[in-house]
Amino acid sequence: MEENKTKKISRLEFLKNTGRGIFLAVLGAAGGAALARSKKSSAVWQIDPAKCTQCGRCATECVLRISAVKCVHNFSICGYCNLCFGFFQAGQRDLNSGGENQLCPTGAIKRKFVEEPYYEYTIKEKLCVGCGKCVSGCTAFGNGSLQLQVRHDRCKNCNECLIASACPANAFVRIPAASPYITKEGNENKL
Amino acid sequence: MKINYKRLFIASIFLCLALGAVFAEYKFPPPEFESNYSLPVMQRPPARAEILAYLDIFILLAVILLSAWASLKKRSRNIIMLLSLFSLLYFGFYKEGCICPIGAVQDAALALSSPGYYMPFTAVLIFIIPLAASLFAGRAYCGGACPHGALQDLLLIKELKIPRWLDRSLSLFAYIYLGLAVLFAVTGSTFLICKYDPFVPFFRLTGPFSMLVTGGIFLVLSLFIGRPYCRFICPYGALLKPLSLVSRNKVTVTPDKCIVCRLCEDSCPFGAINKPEKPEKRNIKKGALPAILFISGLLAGVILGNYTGAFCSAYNKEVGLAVEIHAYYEEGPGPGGISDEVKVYLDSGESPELLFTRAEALKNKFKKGGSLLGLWIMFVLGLQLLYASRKPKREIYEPDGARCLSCGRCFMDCPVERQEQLKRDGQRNVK
Repeated sequence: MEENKTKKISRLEFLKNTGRGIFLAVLGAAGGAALARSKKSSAVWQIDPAKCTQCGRCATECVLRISAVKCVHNFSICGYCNLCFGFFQAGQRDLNSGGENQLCPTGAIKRKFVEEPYYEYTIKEKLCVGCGKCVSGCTAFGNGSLQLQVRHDRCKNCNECLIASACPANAFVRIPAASPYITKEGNENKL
Repeated sequence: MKINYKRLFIASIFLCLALGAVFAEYKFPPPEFESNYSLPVMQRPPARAEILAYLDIFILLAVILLSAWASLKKRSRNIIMLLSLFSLLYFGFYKEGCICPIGAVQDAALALSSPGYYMPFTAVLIFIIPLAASLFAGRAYCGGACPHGALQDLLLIKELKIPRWLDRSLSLFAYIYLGLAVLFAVTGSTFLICKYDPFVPFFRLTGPFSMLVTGGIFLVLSLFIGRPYCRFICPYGALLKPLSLVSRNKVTVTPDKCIVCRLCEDSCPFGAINKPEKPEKRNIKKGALPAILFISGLLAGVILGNYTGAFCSAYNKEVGLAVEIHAYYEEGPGPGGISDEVKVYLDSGESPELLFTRAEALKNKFKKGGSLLGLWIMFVLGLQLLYASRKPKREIYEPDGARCLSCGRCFMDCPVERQEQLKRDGQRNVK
């Protein structure tokens, strides 16, 4: 007789409670598994310069109209060459910063005399579109001190990077946000 | 002291070799400047601070809780509207849409299927919190915290009623989209939901042309149709629907007893208010026909899904590369030269057999996934038909458990609510 006194619940209510229990269990299991596999630090996209082939898609595939990828200059491994293959077009007339001699389509590289025979090259990031032409020249014939990198003051950190899915060399990787750049001389911060 | 010249010579050779190794990396060794030139440092603008990701989660949680409180307890459309405006500004225009729970579905699917995938802790929480909340408070996330929903909700000016059958049929697409997105995510092909998201380009005020066009279409549609993306497309909504159906607490039209005045019927722009119904006496025909139809539907889904999967696999990068490499070895380079992908692959020097086996495995994964997708679609279709054909006894007007987006529009149309409000105002005046 005791049992009749317990609160009666309708069949619908019972089904709902069961359903909620099942969903909670599934959600808990899936969430727990995902949490166990998740990484503590948040992630950002970056280009691994060792894999990059300078195909030029960074300039065109980004969701931003002017790509978040820019050429950056790693001064510490630059040869400061007079004849810079990142700066001068093949078959240049003179070794000066005349527009007809420059490789960069937007004139984003500044050439400055330091001392015989060394010249300093600086990227004007505002003008750079990330086409990678200079990077290609520097990597092929020089030290490779010019490299393409995702600039995190511009990058929207999309869930799926459109450049990454278009990259022919799979050079886009996710790395911890705490050390968000990969330089050529030390790739210690790769995943 | 006798100097061992031989040993010194050998040592110096080793020293030279070691020095050479250091500089051999560089064709032009970095110079040692004589003038006092200081080496500039490579600029590294930092990424968004880690703590901000946790702040986002906190804000998401707070907005969901507030939205649940506003829709269940306080019953105020104004508060929900303010919340959704805040979400539009913060999650939409400030955070620019990424990462949101809708897209996190794919991260979660990928993280669960391939352990190496980088899914940050915060992304898991963003995926889980709205789902868990919907088990207890209905779709509070959709009502107040989703920037996509808020954008469409605030744009709705002239509402066109969609017939119920069309609304219910179109909303099936969300389940198909969810299945497709998971299939493409777990095979590592692409994130469909993010790639074709219509609103993120508007939050960013820039984007690829195709995204802007689909976004424009959805924005124009949402002027006349209540939340078209939420109702018919949103794959996260497809997850939230069954969860909120069994939610512990539900939004009700009236705060007290429904007087069946029919005034709320037109207030919902999403067709989510169910009318009172009397169960009719139906002649139930006995027979196994529905069961046979259902099972054969499932089978057809599996078979069709298998073919669809094989077809979809062409969109995978690796499979596409394998096809290109195969064509390259069979016919040589085409008239347009070889693509960047082929060039990179040929330079890597890997045996193409390895690539072909990988692509074959992927294709099989696609076929298997496609079969499951077909099964899923037919299962949902069957369930939906069952759900639609059932005629429950209902005496009052109440929001549909799955479809109600917790927007709070119906509250103000209820005369009981108004009366209560008048009473409350009266009490306040007396005080």
